[in-house]
Amino acid sequence: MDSKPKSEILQLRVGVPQHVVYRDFVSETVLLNINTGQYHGLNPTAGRMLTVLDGAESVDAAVNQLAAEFEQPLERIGDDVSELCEALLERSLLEIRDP
Amino acid sequence: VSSAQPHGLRRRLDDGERSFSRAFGIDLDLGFPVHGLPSRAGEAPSDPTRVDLVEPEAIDEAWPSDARRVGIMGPADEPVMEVDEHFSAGYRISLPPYGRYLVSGDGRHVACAPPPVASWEWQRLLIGQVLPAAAAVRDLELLHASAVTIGDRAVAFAGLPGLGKSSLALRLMLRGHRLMAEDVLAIETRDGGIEAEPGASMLNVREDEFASLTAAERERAGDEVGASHGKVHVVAGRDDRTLPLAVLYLLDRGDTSEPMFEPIEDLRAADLFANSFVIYVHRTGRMIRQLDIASVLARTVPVIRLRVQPGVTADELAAAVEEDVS
Repeated sequence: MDSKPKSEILQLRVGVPQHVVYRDFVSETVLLNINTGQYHGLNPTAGRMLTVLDGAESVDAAVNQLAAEFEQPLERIGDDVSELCEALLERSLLEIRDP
Repeated sequence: VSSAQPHGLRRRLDDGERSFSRAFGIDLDLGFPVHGLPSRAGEAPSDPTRVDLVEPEAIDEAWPSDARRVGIMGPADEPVMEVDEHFSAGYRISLPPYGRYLVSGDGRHVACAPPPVASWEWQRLLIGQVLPAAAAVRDLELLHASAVTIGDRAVAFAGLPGLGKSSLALRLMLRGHRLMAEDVLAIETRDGGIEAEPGASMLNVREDEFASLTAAERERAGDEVGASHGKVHVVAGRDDRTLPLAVLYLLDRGDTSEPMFEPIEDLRAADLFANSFVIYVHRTGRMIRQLDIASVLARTVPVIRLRVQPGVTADELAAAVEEDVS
């Protein structure tokens, strides 16, 4: 997948596709890709980002919520969430949805 | 002979009286008595897995040619267990000294073609691998673990072979507790927690451990049915209840510089998946349930690393576990 600029990612609406199931553990979130049978682990911060992204109207909206939750600057959270989105989209663990 | 028979198999051999049991989270409709699976009185269960004896040729006749091998398991110097999978026919499990078995694609029929050896010998494979495979096909999650009940709580011990799961279970039995499952434990989510299901109760006790028992202890342990591969096989009484899983001990080797008990605070999914049983059944439903159950277990059940330290006897370990649980 071609890399998207951060500004473009922030405008997207994304979600976890039907072929992916994820569950929270004490110190990680585990994603199961049913199509490949592979498991993927996220640390608790990335796991929380995924949960918020999955229910948000846009990536930008998720960034705003997460910045408030984590009490961190918008710019920094925006960078981290964009990076996570790219990594998950590349592995088909996240999909772009119609706005 | 009719096409309605399991797998369309002809020449079913056991047309006698049937009995019912329950193990690994599934009801069983048995065409013959099975060591380590106590019969259950009452009406026939509504959705059991039916287990029948068939002639060996019938297994191969019923098995499609486009199956694929999904498992070759066992020590290098002994006959290995081979597992073949077919998308609709299910699983064929073969281990030459102990026969050939078919688990249907829905896990509701098991056909057994044992060789002419003592029933306890081939039934070790039946209860140790074949019926757990049927349970896995029916989406049950299975741990490579033994379990005893202490009061109204299930206490499980997982870990690699040779770490003493059976000896620990035996010693806890001799301390007045009851065996729930030997080597394979089915677990399910219920009411937000984890419940453990009774399994098979044929203990495989190391010969030296068995030799150290007094005559009275041997009698209390159960019925000795035979010996093989350095183990004495004992059919013990079983606690038939489904009970909340109170604690899961992960057995490991350790030395005296480390604590015997160490709670695992940051349990990872991999710690649990490493102790999963029947790993060749990769069906979608099972994978999702496995993740669900692991997630609930990690949040609700204390998981404790139990280091088996050198010089500590199985009875001393059992006493330590008894104290830790209480």
